[in-house]
Amino acid sequence: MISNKIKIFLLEDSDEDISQLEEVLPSRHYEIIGIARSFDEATSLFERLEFDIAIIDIFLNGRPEGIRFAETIYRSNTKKPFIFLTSSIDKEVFSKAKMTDPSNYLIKPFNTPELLFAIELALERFLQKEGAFAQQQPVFYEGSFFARDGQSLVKVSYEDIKYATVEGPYCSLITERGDFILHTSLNRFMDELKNGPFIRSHRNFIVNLRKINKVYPNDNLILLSSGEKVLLSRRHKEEFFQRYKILK
Amino acid sequence: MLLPQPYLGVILGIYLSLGSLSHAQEKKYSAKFKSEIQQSCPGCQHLGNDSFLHLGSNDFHNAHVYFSRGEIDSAYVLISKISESKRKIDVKGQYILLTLKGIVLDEKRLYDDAVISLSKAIEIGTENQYPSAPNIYAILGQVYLEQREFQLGANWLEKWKASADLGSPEQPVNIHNLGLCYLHLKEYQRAEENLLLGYRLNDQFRDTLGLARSSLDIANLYYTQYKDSLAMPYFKKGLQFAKNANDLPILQNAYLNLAVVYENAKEYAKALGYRKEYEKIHDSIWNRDRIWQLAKKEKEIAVAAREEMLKAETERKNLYRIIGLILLSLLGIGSYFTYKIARQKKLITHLNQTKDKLFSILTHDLKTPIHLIKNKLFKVLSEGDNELRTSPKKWQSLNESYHLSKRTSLLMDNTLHWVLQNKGQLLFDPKQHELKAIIAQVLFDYHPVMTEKKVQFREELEPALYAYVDLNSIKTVLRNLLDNAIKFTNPGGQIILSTGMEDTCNCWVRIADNGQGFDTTTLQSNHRALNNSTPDTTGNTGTGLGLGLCKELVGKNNGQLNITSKIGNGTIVTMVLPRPKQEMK
Repeated sequence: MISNKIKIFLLEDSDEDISQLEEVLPSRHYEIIGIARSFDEATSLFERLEFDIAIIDIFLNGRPEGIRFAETIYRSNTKKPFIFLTSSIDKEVFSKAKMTDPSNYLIKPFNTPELLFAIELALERFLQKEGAFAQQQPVFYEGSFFARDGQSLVKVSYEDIKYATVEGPYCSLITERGDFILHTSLNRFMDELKNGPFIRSHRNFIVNLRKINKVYPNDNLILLSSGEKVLLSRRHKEEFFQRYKILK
Repeated sequence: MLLPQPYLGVILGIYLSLGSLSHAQEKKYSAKFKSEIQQSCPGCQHLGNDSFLHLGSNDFHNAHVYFSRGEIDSAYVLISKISESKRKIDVKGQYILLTLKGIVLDEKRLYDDAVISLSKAIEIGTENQYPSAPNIYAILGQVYLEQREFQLGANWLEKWKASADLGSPEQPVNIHNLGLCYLHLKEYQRAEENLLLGYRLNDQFRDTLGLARSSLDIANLYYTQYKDSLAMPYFKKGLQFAKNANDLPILQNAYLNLAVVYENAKEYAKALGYRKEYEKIHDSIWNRDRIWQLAKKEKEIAVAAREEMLKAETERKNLYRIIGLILLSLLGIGSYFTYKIARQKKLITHLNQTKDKLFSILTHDLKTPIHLIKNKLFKVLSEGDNELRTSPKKWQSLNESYHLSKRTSLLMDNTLHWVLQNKGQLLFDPKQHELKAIIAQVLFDYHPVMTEKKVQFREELEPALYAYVDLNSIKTVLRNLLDNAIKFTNPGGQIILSTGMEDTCNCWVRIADNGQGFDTTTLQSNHRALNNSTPDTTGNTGTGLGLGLCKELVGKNNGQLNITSKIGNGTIVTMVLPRPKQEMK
């Protein structure tokens, strides 16, 4: 089972800062998948690790090695969002850092909301959906979507979605990782998911074909592997079965 | 004794024709004198041998060039200019100039001055044994001859003769002049000796004019001694040579001599014929002299003009020199001060940089440890050890330490902002930010303090309200404002933080407390002053850096900070900030 946690890579040489990050991030459902303390360590880890976002201290041992590493990310084929972490508020430092196109800056000392906000904003900016999380909107990215879940952010792979339904004016998403209320319409959500194994079974339901256990056409009901039930409407039945056969 | 009178006149006439003859002619130097000029003239040395007759830029050079061209007036002007100037001239130069000057003065018939000048030249010349010195004896001799000081003339010319090179071109003239001196002194034998030698030498040099002169003077010599038979052929030769020489004055003299001779011999027809020829020439000479005078006048004007030009040029040169000198000295003074100012500026800049660097290092390096202390204290306090809670004293001192560290942390942050802002080096990156999010980030650190102080806190925040600001600076402002509000609010007091839309372009953040308040007039008068602080509810005074910095940072964000406060009635601080141009959906 794939984790729905957002994976964070750290490049930081200060023990105090590492311990603060290690304390805060996991408790907010972020996963630190690697910590590098030097540029060399960072480059070798960068090739091996899959991460969603990097937090990079600009100064390592007094040298702007962090900027060098950011350049590596900037030039690589798989661009990744990253946040510059620094205790400096000197313009000069930032003008150099800016050349590597960072998604956000976080100034030390930082508190928990500042850190979480910085990460959210970095992702929003990277995916050009600024303000989305505050408005409970999902941000789609390469077979997954990011969304705010309470105080923290999660990354949900499409595979983990069981079904989506309407919840008042919003859209409720039932996944292996729990339920999400997203401030988006089911139609807009369907547009994003149409390349995956998803099908509209009802005006108010989108279902993941891979999660279906059994279909009861007479009862207009779909039984999922997890035991949950999804409605199947007469209008969508024909289209549903066409795709269901193909994919099943 | 009728005869001697005309004879003398004749003789004088012949002689004088010699003086005026040389007037417009190119001057010839003796070879020795020429080489001496070339040795000491800077112009000739600079320009090479070809330049001996060409004008250059040097006064000395031009003096002898004018002289040798026969433009003696110009030469004289330059010679005077050189001797008047303070410039140092070497001995040989002085010798040359004195000689030239003497010759010019002689030609101007200023014989006394000529004698003085030439005597000085001779003095220098003999003393230094210049090869050309004896030539000057001859010139001086000639001057004396012209002055009718025949004995002195003869003496100097004899002196010349004693050291003269035979065969030099000037030899016949000088020998002839020596003969003339003796003729006037009535020392006929010496006169005959020298005049005949002069004749021979002129013959040798094929100098027709010289031969004419020699012939006529020899004729006169014999005629004065009543040796008519010897005189007659020389009178006729003289006429013939004078005709060939094509020199009017001498021809005239030749005719006059013959006319007188025939008149004395009572051959009036012949005498009348020669007299008529004489008259004819007299007229043409008169005409020529008139032209001469006109030319002379023109020349005088030209000389005056040239002199004027030379003077003007000198003045102009002097003026340029003075201007140049003034400019140079101004430049010198200017560059000296520029250098001094630049050095001082460099020093000041360096000192200022050192100060800023020191400040930023200090604050930067203090910022981290103080923050760590603060965090550790917070941790201890939030873990809420039972043991601690049961000991109120320990609990209180820990709490106070935490607040102190928090305030110091803020002070450090403020100082750093203040230093960087003054340097123009403060990070400034305005972007669209949700006010609620910014406030949440800042409030996080103040909730415990307010709880501790039992301050009631209320948020009245407009959802999804965005401002276009630099996050870091606005957070700093909010921290300061919240810190102030808590500081001046009595325990049990109230703080309300609210946001709202001012108009389409602006939004506001307001922090209102019902604390002790303060006199706003002190704030307006000097909001940037440091140490402008009021004691807080616990009697502590801050640095007063906070509000000044806040005003500046809000201003930098294109916002406004309005403060209304009344002592005893609390304070309301409203920060108006710009909204993004296009509100996000």
